[in-house]
Amino acid sequence: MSTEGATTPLEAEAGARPEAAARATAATPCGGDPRAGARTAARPAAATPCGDAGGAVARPRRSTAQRVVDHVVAAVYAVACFGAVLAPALAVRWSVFRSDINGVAGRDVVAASVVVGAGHAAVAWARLRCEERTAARRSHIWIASLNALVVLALSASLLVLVVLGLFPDEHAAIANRGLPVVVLWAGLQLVAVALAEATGRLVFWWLEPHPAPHRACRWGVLPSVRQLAGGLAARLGVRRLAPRLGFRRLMVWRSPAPAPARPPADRTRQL
Amino acid sequence: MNRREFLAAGLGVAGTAAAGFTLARGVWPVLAEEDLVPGEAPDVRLRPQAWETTDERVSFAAIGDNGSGGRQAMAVAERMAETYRSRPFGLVALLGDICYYGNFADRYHDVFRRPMTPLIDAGVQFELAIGNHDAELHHSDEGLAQIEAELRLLGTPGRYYRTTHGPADFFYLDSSTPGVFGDAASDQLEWLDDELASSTNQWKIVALHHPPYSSGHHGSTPGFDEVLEPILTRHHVDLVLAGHDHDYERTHPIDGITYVVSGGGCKTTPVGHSDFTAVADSTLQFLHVDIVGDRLVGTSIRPDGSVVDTFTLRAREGR
Repeated sequence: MSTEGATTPLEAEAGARPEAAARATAATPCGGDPRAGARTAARPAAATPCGDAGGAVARPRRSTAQRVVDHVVAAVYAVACFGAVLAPALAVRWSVFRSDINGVAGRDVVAASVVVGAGHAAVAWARLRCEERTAARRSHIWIASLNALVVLALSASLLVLVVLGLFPDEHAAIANRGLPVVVLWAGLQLVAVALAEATGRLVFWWLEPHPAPHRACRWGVLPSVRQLAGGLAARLGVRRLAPRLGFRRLMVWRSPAPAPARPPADRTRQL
Repeated sequence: MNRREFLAAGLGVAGTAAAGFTLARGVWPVLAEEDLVPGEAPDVRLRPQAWETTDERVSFAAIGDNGSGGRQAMAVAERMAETYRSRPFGLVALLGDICYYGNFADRYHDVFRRPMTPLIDAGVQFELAIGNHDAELHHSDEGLAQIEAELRLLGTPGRYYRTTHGPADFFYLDSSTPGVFGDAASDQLEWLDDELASSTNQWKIVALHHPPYSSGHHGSTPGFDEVLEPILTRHHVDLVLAGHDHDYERTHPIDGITYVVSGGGCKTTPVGHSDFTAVADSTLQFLHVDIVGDRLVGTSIRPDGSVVDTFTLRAREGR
């Protein structure tokens, strides 16, 4: 393939020579200014988790309005995450407030949720900003974030309800031993945050296009379920099913070495 | 939009709808209504036997639905102990549901012993009218075993019984469905009829879990007006104490009987107003009652010490 005298999209180059693409993008790791790197009009071929220098990050220059929208959306999402973590504590605090109990009852769990929620909001904001720099399509960010927010809202409230409601003896025993209940509360919310973060990153990774198996076979690029099923079918001797289940692609995936280059065509014979 | 995007977006949208419905209708209201966060037991030391009970005088407290062992239950229990300091009482009438979220035998220390330790150490006596959360509604073998465990742990003589303290006779009933409407219900109702007829004390007080009159979440118990109320009216009962609805309510006298719901022992539910309602408030509280001669003064007290309601009853003429 000759590139002389023509504008070659980065994705084409990355497709042809993955090691070159990796070198090209290593200079602009995620978190830096993507505009500093080489820019073309093409969408990136693949996005990788932030910090992975192997991802192609070139994307068209965004307008000021788009950047403002990205900032605002990331901030709104962070606030939504904060609210999802804080909601169960506010519900508990509301019962105490409505019950006319003086003193600090309920404020400790609110304080714990504020700390956990603020921390998670910062992490979520940073994740979103990072994904905005690497995503092949903006919709992938929003879809992944929506899924993460659903998991966060459900787990932050349900975990508390299930653990406090179904295991009263255990947490009463904890309280009896003098361990503040707020530690249990914060621990549950941290679990919820971890679940949400894992969901967001997994869904985003799943939605993003991955390099074809024969072009890149680095850690983190796994065969699909269909390919694994094909391999299994082949091992079990179900040869009819194997090709339909992607066995041949799996075989390619398992041998990432590039195919030997074809000898140049004999131009004289063609002429 | 490719297949993955469609699937993930669909899951996200469906999840948002499901999560919003589940949280708004199920989870957050439960967290706001229940008393799930464990509380610290009241650290109060009381002077033992500080009350005075004579033929003319008795003081007692009544509390229902206090079996969570949570912060709100502890706050009410602490207020009871503080009230004992200034207005000592020798009896607590438990109006049922003394154990939520588990078996009473397992949770005895968490839901009863720890919050009531100051009063127990002061020698205060506890008498229980069993509630629907203390056993299953229809008295399965497991439910009956739990009732028996409760009665044994609290030293209560049976599912329904009568006690006398000073000038007042107390009649504790099993107001569950089998207790009032089941095959063996006639035993309890005949017993109540006989005991009320034989009572010659100045005050007749009936304690049960399900309220004959209520404007709260559960409302008035259906069927009580046909089965129970004629007996209470015939024998000129003065005061009926109940729980079940997590609020405080007092009715205007109905056929001479004042009905009080004192079910704010650890959680609250909304309460409305009916024709028979004199006072209604959705709040944590317990009821303190002083009987001196022919006058009964009841005071409903919140955990912060403020008063929800105070009422005075006069003994019926001829007693």
